[in-house]
Amino acid sequence: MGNGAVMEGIETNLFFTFFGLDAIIKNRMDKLHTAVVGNPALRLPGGLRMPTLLGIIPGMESLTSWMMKSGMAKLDIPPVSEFLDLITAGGGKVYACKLAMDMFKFRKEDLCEHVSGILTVGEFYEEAAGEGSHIIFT
Amino acid sequence: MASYTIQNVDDRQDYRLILITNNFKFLIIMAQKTYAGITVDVNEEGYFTNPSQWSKEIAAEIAKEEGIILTDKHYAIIEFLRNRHNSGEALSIRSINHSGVLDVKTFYQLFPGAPLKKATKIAGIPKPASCI
Repeated sequence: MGNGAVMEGIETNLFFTFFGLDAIIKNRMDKLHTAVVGNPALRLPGGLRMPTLLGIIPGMESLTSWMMKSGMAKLDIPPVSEFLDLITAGGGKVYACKLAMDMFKFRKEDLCEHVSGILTVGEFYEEAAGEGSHIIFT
Repeated sequence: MASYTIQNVDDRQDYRLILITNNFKFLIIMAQKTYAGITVDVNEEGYFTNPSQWSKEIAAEIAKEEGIILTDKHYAIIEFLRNRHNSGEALSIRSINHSGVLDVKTFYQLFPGAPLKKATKIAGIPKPASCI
């Protein structure tokens, strides 16, 4: 959604918090996995609902993540790092949440090069203030 | 692809074809615009419905409407976009990196704002239906 906004010429600031931080942590961003337990959108091939208990089978998470990645590649959806390349190339800004950084004991050096800064939630809301602004939570 | 809008037929002058059924009149709008002395077919957003009517001179005039003065770099990427469209490949902002002409960052600088929308309009090809 952030990239789509940049493409439309909309000023865009992204704020990553809690486990969303993994998407801007240098050595994790391109190794994100698909949740196999408690994921209501997860379906077996053919469209049947995936029973939550199947998610605990060893290898299930890797298999699901692999299927997700190959599905994305087929649609020409870039990996996370390249998505952030596209967003920042278009002038979009990326920020990390200070509280989440402290909580997960990340340091500034752990963040990818796309990140412009570490903000408190209040500072981010200031960034998003002004007429015509929208805050979208995903 | 042309866009179809249903409106009160009698109010419009710029239509090409009217389909009349028992209860409704359908008006297929194919507006026209004149660039560099040549009249071209466009849809209601100003995108060409017939890319073969395009020329470099026309591109320069559309660009002027968008507030852009075309340079060789602009023309190079426009040519890439037209070739890609002609070969039936989907256009995305990501595909610009594969152009070999320029990277995405320069693309944003050349066509400020919404570069893919502006560049395809100037290139005389349809607006890309791309989320990436």
